Amino acid sequence: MNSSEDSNISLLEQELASLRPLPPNPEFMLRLSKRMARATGPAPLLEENTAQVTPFGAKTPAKGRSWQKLAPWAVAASVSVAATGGYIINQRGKGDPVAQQRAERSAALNQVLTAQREVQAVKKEEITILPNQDATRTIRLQYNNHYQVQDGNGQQFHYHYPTEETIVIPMRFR
Amino acid sequence: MQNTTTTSRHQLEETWKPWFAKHGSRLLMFARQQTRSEADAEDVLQDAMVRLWKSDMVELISEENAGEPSLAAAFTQIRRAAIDQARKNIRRANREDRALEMDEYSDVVWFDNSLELDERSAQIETALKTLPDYYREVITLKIWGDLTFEEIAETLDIPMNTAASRYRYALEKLRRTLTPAKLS
Repeated sequence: MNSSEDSNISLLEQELASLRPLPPNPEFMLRLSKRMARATGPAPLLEENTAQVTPFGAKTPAKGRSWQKLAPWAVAASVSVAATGGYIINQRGKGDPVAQQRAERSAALNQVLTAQREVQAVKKEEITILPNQDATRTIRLQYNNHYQVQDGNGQQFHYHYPTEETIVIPMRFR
Repeated sequence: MQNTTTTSRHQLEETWKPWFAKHGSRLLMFARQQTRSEADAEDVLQDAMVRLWKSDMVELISEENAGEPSLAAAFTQIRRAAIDQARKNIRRANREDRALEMDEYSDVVWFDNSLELDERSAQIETALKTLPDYYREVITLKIWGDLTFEEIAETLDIPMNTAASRYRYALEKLRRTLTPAKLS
């Protein structure tokens, strides 16, 4: 590479560095704030259950685990199993033997008084149309799940937990 | 013990916003390059942020990192999240047999074109988009990510010399694509 080419490369580097990447939009920041609050905030039951009963009914966390570090989905799975009589709705908890075991323990100790689910928002909607084929409609729904739960000590607490689900609906042309 | 955890979480809640305000644009740019659409890029970046902040709290707030996660760790998480998403998309594509997929990156804008440099930045963006992925990653991490070759090597899981040579080749390729007259 000769000196002229070196100089061009150097100019190019400077020019590239002068370009500013497009920043995230405000809506993105709003969504991220909500997710980060859920990820870094306290476990859902902490705020409303001052007796410090863990989501799985035990008085103290298992050895080596802090109940504050329990994943929110595990909490949701435990309530789902109680609400539906042994079936874990939450996809991330499904098939996980540890989550299943915890959920069953929870179901024995905690009683779900009410469980309600409402659609909070349609986050994304796409319609895919392919030539000579049926079209599909993909919808991403955000739910708000409300639970009224009573633990083994008779204490009642309420919490709500958002979940998301993607559904694909086949469409036929007439 | 519990108080420490509570404090750590509180600190984490406080630290991510200013950190993201400082680095968000460059992180999103990298995410845009790792995905096919703006929506996917945003999803990947959100996943990466959550993973990063949940990964190892002790390291995140250590004095060694000045109370912040390293940028290299953030780029690594974005790359992993993008790989996970690509796998999901492949499964979905098989299901829907997408035949009308648009050209890669065609609808994704990477740079802030509100400046006077509109036309020129668009040319550079187009040239960058034509680079092979392995060149573009290195250029992005070096120029806009401010990473050293050592950090780039760690992020992309390649030898440091490879990172350095890819950077040189990528610049040379860009230089050839963008006519010399326009470099002045």
